[in-house]
Amino acid sequence: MYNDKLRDFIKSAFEKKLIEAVMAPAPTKDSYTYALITRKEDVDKLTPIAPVMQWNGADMLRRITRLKKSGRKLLAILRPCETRTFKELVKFNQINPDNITILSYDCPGTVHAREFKNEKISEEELIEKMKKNEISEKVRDSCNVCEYPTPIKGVGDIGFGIIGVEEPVFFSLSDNGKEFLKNMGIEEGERDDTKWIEIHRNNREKWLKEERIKGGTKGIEDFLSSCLNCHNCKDACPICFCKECFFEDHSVFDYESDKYFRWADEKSGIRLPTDKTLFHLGRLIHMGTSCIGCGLCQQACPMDIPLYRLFGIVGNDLQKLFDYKPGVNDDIPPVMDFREEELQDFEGLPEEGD
Amino acid sequence: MVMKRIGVFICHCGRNIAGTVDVKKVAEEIGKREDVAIATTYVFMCSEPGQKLIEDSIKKYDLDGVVVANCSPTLHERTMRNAAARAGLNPYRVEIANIREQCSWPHENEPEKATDKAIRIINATIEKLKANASLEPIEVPVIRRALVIGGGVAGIQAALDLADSGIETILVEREPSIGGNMFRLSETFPTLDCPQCILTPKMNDVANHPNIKLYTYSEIEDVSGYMGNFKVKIKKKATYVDWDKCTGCGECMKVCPAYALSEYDFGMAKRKAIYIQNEQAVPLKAVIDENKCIKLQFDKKVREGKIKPKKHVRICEKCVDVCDAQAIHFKNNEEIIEEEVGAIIVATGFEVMPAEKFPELGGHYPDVVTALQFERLLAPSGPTNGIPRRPSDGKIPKRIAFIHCVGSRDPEHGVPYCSRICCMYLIKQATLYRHAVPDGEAYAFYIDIRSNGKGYEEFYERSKEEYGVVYIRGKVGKVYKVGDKYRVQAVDTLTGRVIEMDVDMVVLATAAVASKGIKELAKKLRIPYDEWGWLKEVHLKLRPLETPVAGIFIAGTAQFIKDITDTVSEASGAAAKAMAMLSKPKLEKEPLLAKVDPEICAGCGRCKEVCPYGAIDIDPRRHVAVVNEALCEGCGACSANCPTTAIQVVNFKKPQIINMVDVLAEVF
Repeated sequence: MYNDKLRDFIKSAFEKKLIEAVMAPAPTKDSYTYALITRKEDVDKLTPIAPVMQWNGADMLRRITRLKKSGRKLLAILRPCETRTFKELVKFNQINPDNITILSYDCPGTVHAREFKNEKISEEELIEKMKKNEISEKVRDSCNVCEYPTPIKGVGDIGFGIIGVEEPVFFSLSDNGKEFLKNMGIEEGERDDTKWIEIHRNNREKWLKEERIKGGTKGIEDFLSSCLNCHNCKDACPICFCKECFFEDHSVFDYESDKYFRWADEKSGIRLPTDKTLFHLGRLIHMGTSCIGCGLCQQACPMDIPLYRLFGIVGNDLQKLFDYKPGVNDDIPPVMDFREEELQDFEGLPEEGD
Repeated sequence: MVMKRIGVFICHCGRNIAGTVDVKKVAEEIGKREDVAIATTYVFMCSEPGQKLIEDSIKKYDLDGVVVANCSPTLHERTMRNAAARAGLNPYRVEIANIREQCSWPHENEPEKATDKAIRIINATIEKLKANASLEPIEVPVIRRALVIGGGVAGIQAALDLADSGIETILVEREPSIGGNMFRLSETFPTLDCPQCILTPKMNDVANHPNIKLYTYSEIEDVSGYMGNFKVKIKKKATYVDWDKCTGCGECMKVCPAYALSEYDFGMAKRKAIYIQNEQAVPLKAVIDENKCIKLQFDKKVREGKIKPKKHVRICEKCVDVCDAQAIHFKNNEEIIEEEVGAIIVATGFEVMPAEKFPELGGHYPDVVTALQFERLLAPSGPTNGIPRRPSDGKIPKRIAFIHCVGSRDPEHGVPYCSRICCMYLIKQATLYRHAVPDGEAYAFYIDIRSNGKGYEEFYERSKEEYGVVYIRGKVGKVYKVGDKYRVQAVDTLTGRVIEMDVDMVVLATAAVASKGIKELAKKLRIPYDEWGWLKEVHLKLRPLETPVAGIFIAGTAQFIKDITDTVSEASGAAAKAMAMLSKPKLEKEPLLAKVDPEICAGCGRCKEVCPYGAIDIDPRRHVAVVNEALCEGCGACSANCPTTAIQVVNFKKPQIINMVDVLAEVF
């Protein structure tokens, strides 16, 4: 029903010539992918609200617009976390937002891509639960503790409200969205999403307290002990936008054998490869302040390491430290900001073993 | 490309290094490396024979890289690179390992550890050197013009020296006239020359010099470009008077009904809203203070819609009526002028802390003044015609307390440093006061008298013997008002006696600080300054007139407080530095600049955001960063902020740095 409504919306937008293309999820045999569609006839191939997030939609928009702005009027249907990614990537000059209209919706969460492959679930089921203000136990960890599960004013253009109303409503998030809805002949509606947000935030508070990785260096080593160093988490991360990761430039970590032996002497043996934990720490430093919490790092891990516990919680701490909320406003990311008055005190680290 | 035949030359620096570090052992240890062809020591590597040793070794051992372990690279990197170049080795294959400032000096008490550390520093430097590329300097053209910022005695002297050598020079001064602080002084120590008499000829030379373009009442708006090729935007502030027509007759000042405190007299007198800064001003032109002029204030309120315009009614305009030259037009004639220059001399001078900052010393009373204010009261050209009078009631003070070190040498209430000139000018002021008021008494409260200049000590002695100035060694704790007198409480530290004394006036030698607005200007010029605003030189001893930005020099008290003698010498020195640069047909620039690997760069722009020189842009077509070599100074801020290794400084590549860190951090 909700997807029908959105498909009708898209078709109508094509008819009214408000858009010339749309990017939204479409089903594949075992999952959902993003599809770029340029004709009204093809809109039925889309499932705008999909139960799986195989990739981050903003990452797809980055691919389309990094070199040149969108040449056609494009509508993108993104989950709230993806709209925040979109905003963050615009700041990093990775997406050109010109000519793109973004529609986002009250998100019921998504299930892990592998679990979906094993056991299919429909988006309707997730939405039905959401309407009762219940989070499905099948959704991913990161969805369960999502800080912003609904569209935010100023992030994206159009909101699609599902919670707390019988019939879904459209509302604007930006001036562009306001104009768009007006041209569509749609009257803006209202709905109350506070409860849905509250449930998630309560989960989040609990999670921040209980799931923190403890035990200092050993705790991190243990946590990452099964890591294959495959770098999948980095590939799935939409904020890791580098063409070539620092950790893939092997010249940086090319050492002569003497060095390995010396290290082994000093430390009563060393773990090999030496750049595994360092890789994760490097990534935390590079993208921690911009982590928007999509949790795709964790979904990408072939060893099922609950990576979001590392990136989400450290990201949360870092963002607090710099008073920065990625993707929800136009503040400059700390890594791009030069301040003469540097951070003075730092008390963000929890005590060893607590 | 990886070097296999490296020469390591370890300097004793007399006993500076060898007194702590066991240089023989260092040479022995380093000599064991496979990639080191020779490791040797010499007593002074920077000396002629030391350099010869390096040159000869390069030839003898066919060296492909050289590490000199000595002092900071800011001192002798160039010396050693030049020596290598003479022997046919690319100078960028020479690296300095700093084992003096970063090793022997701080670790004087731990010679063994210092020796280990020296070995480690040299090993790390070898690691860096091994991946150094051979480079050629970059040539840039040079514009044979100079800019001098600040029209005090330093700026005047520098501009004249430059102009005399045939270099077209632009002199910018923010006040309506040049002359600066010196022109406001009563007389100068120790010769008691009248500054007006000795400075006006120079000021007139500036005005009439064919090679000097003078912009007064102007400020620096923006500076871009690089050594030899600066682009400067100068804002000429609105004067509301046509200076081409103004004859400087001063009739307008007589009729103007609006007053303001005179900046020229440091608030010791009033001036009109339309004013010529002083009778000997250069240029001798009137300006209107828009905040005080009745007509301009009225016009402003009309513009803001606060009051209604009045038709056919003239608001004031008394000055217009008496201006035969018809120069006053009331039009906002602010304008931005663009100039191109090859070198810049910053001569922005100093000011003193206001007396109000020291309420415990009575700084808020009208008769407690700063020494600069007292200069005006002693100056024959000043508001009291050279006979000091109390600002409160105009009476001639019969007893004055001169208080030294107010805020100076006092980190808690002022600044930690000695302001250098106060001792001498208070001696002078006390002397002049005794001369002007023969029955007056002068008491000076001091911590130490610092009179270390030619003729200074003699001047001090004369003030005691001939003029009867009384010097009391002790700091004043409190000054407060008793009737129409001021009670000074102090302790005479020589006798231990507590002193209470009632005086008519108090002169405070408040601490000197850098001129207002210097930090903003320094940011535009991208030159560093310390927390008090004094500009930082490259090296206090050896390069005191240069800033780290090539092509920008410092003259006079902008660098630190100093007397007129030193200021004038420095100004000529800075001018000579600028001339040396501008006399070359082309300038050579260090090729140690940032380079982008477009294959890796994702065009995120983090480097662009942090570049302090505006040297980076994002190519819109390829969506990658590009570096403007002319603007890049090779500081590496971009590289540190690049999430990948796309932008790196040549010869400071990531693997080089990581290898250095590895060696330095290794536990032996």
